[in-house]
Amino acid sequence: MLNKHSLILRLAMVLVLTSLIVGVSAVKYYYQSIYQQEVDKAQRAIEQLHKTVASTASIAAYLKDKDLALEVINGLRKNDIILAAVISSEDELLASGGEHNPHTALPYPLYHPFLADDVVGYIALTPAQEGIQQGARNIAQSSVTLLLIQTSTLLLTFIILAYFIIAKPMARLSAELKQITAGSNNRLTVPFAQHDSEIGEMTKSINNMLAVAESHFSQERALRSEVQELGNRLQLLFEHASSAMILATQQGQIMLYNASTEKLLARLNLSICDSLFELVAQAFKDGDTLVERIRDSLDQDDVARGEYQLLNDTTGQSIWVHILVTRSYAQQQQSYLQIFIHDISSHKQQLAHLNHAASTDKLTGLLNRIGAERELDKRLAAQQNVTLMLIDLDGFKPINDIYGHDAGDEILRYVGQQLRQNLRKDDLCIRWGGDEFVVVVDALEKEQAMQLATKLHQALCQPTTLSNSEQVAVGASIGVAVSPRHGGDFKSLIVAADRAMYGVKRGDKNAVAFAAD
Amino acid sequence: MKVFAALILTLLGTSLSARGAEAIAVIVNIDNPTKALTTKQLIDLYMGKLIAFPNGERASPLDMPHDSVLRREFYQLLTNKPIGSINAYWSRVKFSGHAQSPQSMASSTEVLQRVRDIDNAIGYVKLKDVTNDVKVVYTLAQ
Repeated sequence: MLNKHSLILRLAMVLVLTSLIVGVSAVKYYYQSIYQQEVDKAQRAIEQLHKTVASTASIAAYLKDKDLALEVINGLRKNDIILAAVISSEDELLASGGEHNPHTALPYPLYHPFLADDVVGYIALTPAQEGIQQGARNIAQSSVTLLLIQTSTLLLTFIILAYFIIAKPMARLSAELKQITAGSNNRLTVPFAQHDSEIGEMTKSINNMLAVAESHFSQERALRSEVQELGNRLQLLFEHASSAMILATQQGQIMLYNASTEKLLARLNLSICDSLFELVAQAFKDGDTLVERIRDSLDQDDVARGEYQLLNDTTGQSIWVHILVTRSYAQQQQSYLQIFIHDISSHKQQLAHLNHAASTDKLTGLLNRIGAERELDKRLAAQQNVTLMLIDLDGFKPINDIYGHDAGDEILRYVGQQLRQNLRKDDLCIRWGGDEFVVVVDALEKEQAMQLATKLHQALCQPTTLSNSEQVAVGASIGVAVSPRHGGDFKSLIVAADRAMYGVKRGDKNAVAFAAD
Repeated sequence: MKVFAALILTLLGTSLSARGAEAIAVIVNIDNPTKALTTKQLIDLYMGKLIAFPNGERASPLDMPHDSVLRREFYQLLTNKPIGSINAYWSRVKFSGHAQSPQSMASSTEVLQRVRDIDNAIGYVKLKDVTNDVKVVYTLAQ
């Protein structure tokens, strides 16, 4: 309803105040003018009374007739507007009545009844001031009452109308508006009979605004759900990525990391820390060097990548990862570091496996020619001198022919075994092809080399029992070459050893020979 | 020549007064010491204000009959008011009994006789009727 700040109450107060001020001034002015009118009227009436009694009063003054004068005065005093009257001749008071007031009394000269210019006395009439004032007051009062009734009726009517036409509809609109949530499809109802009024216009404007707000809200909602959807997908991508992902500030402060990061660290028995570089230093083998390399790379071209080995995991298994660090620029020259760590251990293992398979002879498990060349080149490149022995089996073909390929394979495996058992771990045992083998050991003097070759020869020539229970034995022709005496590379050593071995083959076979210089 | 001029004037005056009123003389006893009266003194004597001559001798004003032409003309010339006003004045004044109205005489002859007989009498007659045994103290003419 109406509170003290209500428009209607304020309006009413202003109206009442204005009416009061205007009313009071109007009444004051009105009273004064009425009073003046009444005084003028009374004066006119007194004037007329004077005129009525003037001739008789003149006679009384002329003749100094006190009785006549008294009669005139008594007659005058019967009028309400006369408070007192005095008639005097030029030299004496003839008669008086009432309380004569010399201040308010109106004096009139009395002329000689027959000589118009001769003054014979005076008549002084005191108006009944009180009565005149009272009369004026009464008239003013009734006018004020009328004015008050009229004004208050108008005021009341105005206030009631204003309340029902303005205040109430507005209060209702306000209450209705309070119930409406911005963005909803609710609208205000135009108040009764206000369709084209200012309130109606305001209502329509508010409704337009609500409509605009609704459309904005729905657009925003759509946009927000789109953003959320995108966010969800990004989160999905981020959280479910098999790679560990870390986002850090330019200074290496870690801001965000995914579940895979935690899993990876858990495998290393580490926990996440604040600094990216500290984490790298802890998690990687030779981490400090890696950190330096990452910093250098980033400074050069904003990206650092490479395959590095982490610390062994809790089960002792080695972990290889591909690490990619990129610097990305956001707004305002702010840059971030994105780190992707992808576990490539299995890939590495597979590669090692393939490598092993490619360099290994399937049958004997010894190195094949490819693997041998690679290993030997490695050693020679490292300025390592070696002793090379080329072994060709004697009597293998007959066994193969008599007992079949399986028996041949058994013999080859047996030879491989014998070589392995009589050599150190670092020595190379190679199946050169068919029934030819190569052995590479550290550099030896001729004597020692020949001793080892003889020992190997004896071991090879030991009879063995095949799976078909046949007892067989093969012989071997061995050529020995040493570096750098017979050459600095693999090929020249082979050629030298091969020449020595053929020398044995051409002779009695089944013996050992040192290559010629 | 002077006699002639006076005669013409007299004739002219006579003819003029014949149209309106004739000149009126106010007369007193021949022994009355009053030589002349002012208009005011005369009015005051006839209106009851003065009851004595300037020498202090009591005056007794004489009037003509109530409805006589001379009376009307006398008051008309004296006060410049119609006779009705004079009558109304007396009807008011008499009521209170303070002033005495002039004594009414039957005719001019009677007025003359009275003035001759009584020392303090004062009356008015037409100027032409004035005799030598009375004294004119005032003349009223248009």
